[in-house]
Amino acid sequence: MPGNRNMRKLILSMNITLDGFIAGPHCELDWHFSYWNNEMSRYASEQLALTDTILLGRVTYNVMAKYWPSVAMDRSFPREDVAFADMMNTHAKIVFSGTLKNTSWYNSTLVTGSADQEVIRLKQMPGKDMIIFGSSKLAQSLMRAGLIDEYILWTYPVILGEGKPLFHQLRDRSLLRLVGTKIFSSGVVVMDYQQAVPVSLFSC
Amino acid sequence: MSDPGNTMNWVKDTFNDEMLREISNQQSRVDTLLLGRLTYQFMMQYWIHASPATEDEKMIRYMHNTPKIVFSRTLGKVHWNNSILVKEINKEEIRKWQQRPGKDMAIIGSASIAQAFINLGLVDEYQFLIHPLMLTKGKSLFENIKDRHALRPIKAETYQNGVVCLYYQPSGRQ
Repeated sequence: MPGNRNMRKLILSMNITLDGFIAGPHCELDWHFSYWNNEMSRYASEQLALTDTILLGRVTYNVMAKYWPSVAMDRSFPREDVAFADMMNTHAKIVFSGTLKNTSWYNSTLVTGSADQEVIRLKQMPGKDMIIFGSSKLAQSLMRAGLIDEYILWTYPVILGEGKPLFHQLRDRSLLRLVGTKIFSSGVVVMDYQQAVPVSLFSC
Repeated sequence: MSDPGNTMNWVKDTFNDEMLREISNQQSRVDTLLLGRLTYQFMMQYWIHASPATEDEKMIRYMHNTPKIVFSRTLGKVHWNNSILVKEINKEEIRKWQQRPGKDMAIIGSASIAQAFINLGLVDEYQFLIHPLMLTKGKSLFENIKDRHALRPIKAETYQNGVVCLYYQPSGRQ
C-alpha cells in the first residue's frame, strides 16, 4: 500500500525519547510536557492542516476528547495552541475500539471491526492525508501491516532508560527515506521519514 | 546498533563520503579511543587488513597509531599497535583521564562500555548517527541505562543518504 502516490498518506506523528520510548514504564509522559513551546505548536498545526482525518485508539481518544474541546473554548491558551485545538475539534476522528460504546467528540466515528481493512478503505477515498497521534497499539498494528506511509518523530532530548517502545515486534526490516528534519529551541528534533521499499525486496 | 547476528552490515548500505569527512573531522579532536572487547577485536581485524586500495590512508594510519584503551575482563593481552588493556571501569580513574591535558577521548561502538560510562555519568558528549532504517530486532545502545538523562542538542546535521547526525551534551536538568 505505501508508495502509491495517488492515495492519501497515513502519517504517524509521535513524541519519542532518544532511546525510542513513547512513555515511561508506567505510562509516564512527564518527560515531554516541559519541552513544548509555541514554535512546536505552530509546526504541529502546519502538519495537521495538511490532513483532514485523525486516527485514534481508545485510550488516546478518551484523553483527547476531554482535552481539546476545552482548549478551543479557553482563550488563555496561546494562539498557536488554539489554532491546533480548532483543527483537532473539527477534523474527522476515526476511533478504533472493540469496547467503546459511543463517541461524544464532534465529528467522531467509531470503528469496531478490522483497523487494517478500514485504513485500506480510507486510503482509497478522496481527501487529504490522515494522521495518527499517540495511540501506540493501533500505530504498532498498522506499522506491522505496512500501512504507515510517513513517520513524524518528535525526538525529545531525554534518555529514559526504560519504558514503552514505539518500535515493537516489527516483522520486516524496512528502509525509510528522510524527508525533513527540524530542530526546535527547546531541544526537540523532528525527524520526518517516509516509507521506502522494504529492504528484503532488493537485498543482494 | 547491531542486528541479532551482532553484525553492522546495515551501516554499509548508507555510509558515504560526507559521513567519512565528518568522522575525520571528529577524529582530529580525539587522541584516545575507548573500546570494549568485541569492538576492539572487530576493528583490529578490519584495520590490520585494510589497504589504501579500499580505505582512506589517513584513516588507516589514525586507527593504527591512536592510543586505544580496551576494557575487558576476559582478554589476556592486546596486540594491536598502541593498545592497552584495562580490566575494569573505575570512575575515579576515568575522571583523572578526563582532567589530563590533551584532546578528547571517544568511545566508538562498544555498547556495554558506553552503557557503563553513561550510568557512571562520565559522558560529556553524545554523537548519534541515526540511519533511516528499522531493524525490527537487534542490540540497543540504551539497554541497561539506570537513570533518566536530560540532554541538550548541540548540533544536528543531515546527510544526502538520509542519515541524521545528532550531537548532545548533558543538560543538567532532571
